[in-house]
Amino acid sequence: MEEPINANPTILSLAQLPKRQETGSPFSTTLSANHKLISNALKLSLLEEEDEYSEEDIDSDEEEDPIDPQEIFDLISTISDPEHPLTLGQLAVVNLNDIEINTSKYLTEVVIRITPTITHCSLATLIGLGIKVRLIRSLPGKFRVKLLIKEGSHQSESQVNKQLNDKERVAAACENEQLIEVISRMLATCV
Amino acid sequence: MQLLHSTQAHTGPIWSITTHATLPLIATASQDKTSKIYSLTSHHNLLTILEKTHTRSVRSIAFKPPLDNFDLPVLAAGSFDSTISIWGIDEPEFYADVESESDHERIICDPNNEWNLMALIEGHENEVKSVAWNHQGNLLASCSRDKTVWIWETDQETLEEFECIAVLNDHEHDVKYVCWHSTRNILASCSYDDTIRIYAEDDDDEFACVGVLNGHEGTVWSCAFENPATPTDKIRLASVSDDLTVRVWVGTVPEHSDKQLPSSIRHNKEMVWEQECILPQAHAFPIYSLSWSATTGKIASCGSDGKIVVYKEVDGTWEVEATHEASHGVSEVNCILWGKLDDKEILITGGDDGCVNYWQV
Repeated sequence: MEEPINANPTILSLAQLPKRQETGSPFSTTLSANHKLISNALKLSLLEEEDEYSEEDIDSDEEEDPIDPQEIFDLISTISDPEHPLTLGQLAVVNLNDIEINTSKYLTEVVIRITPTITHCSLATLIGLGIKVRLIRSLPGKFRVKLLIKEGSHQSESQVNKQLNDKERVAAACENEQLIEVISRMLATCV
Repeated sequence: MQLLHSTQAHTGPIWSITTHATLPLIATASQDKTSKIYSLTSHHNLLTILEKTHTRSVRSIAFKPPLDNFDLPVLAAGSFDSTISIWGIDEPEFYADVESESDHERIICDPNNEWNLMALIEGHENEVKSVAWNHQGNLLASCSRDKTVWIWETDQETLEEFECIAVLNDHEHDVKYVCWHSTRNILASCSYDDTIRIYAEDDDDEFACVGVLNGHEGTVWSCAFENPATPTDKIRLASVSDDLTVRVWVGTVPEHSDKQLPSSIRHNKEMVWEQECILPQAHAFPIYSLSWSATTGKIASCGSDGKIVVYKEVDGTWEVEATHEASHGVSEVNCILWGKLDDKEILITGGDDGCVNYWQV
């Protein structure tokens, strides 16, 4: 194997990575369990199932729950670096504080600033493409993802930024089998 | 603006749409590697699927302007697989007996017609991004990520041979779109290098760059010449960009130079182009396509924000006349064009949702 471009990256331990506060979730689990119980109970009583407790209703509630930066971080921080057996979160290429979400009436814009591990990292475009593909595959259609190289972290910021946000180039890259194979390997570590 | 009809034409995004100049035909180009031809009537019949030819996205599609009212329809399709395909139909039975234009229309729009691959043009190094025919239908322009614009000449009677007569490599990055003037052999190309370039034949009948339009601060995705009812010595061009602006440019047609002079003395007349104005900003995300109506002079634009915007020029000032949000749901809208449905002017859009939408404005 070739010599890695960045042989000695700084690595964060998994425990250092930001995680969602656990407080809310047990409550919501109980709540949805309650919905199920109530809905089952109503079926037992041979009454027509009331709309407000239907499964669909619970689903649509989940859809309305807005996606926050932590959720975006969780989606992309587990992507593997193309040359190290480490994730983009561990290498601090993606950081929670560099994820911004702007919501308008019809669309939601996600702006992500990535920090390549070294300023001349030629893999920045590949990493960016991996993030883009991951988010296109995971997020609903109303999301518009804008990827930027964090200011001062790369020699050719504007060049990389332009490529990563060119819809046509990203689409063409996604039709390149070899490239998609490399990206699939990067995304294999995502849950 | 009111949605008249929506056709779910493809499972993948639609990149490009074209309509025939005289026949009620509309064709689509899609990421699913196919093109489809529908009747541009209130029936919206699927006439044929052009498939098993391209191995990657069909990015751009264009009907050839007909030679006369009885010319058989011809399509050019450019693909990310670096080739351009030319499609046509065999002469239908009893075609020689056709006398009226309505008979011609009925026979051509019959779903039983077989559309055949007439030629496959190779030459570009990588993704072809746009194809366009000149008004006479004998020249086809194409552009690619390989930074070049090619002009191909063909014999309209056979359409079997396409001879490359120019390779224009003035752009610094990939060329996104090409379009011809509606009555002159003037070509415009726009690029990832943020510029638009204008080409015309020089005194030796060779195509050469005669103008550079600088001003956009992002990729120029598309452009369109004005098609005025009366010829003037001014030519206008509108362009749309990643920088969220729609701009109108004005150029002066070069005078005919004196061909008596030896070519060493003659010089190529550059066209003088300047930016006339920036239209009122109405888009929040990159603008991918525009169309300039030959009938009303209105400009329509669309893009990543899913919005359709119609602009109208009143006493030399452009105003936003109408907008429509979420025209393809949450999807991006890749192409827009003015067309005719039952003799009424409508807008036609194609989106990432694979739909062709028809709008009454």
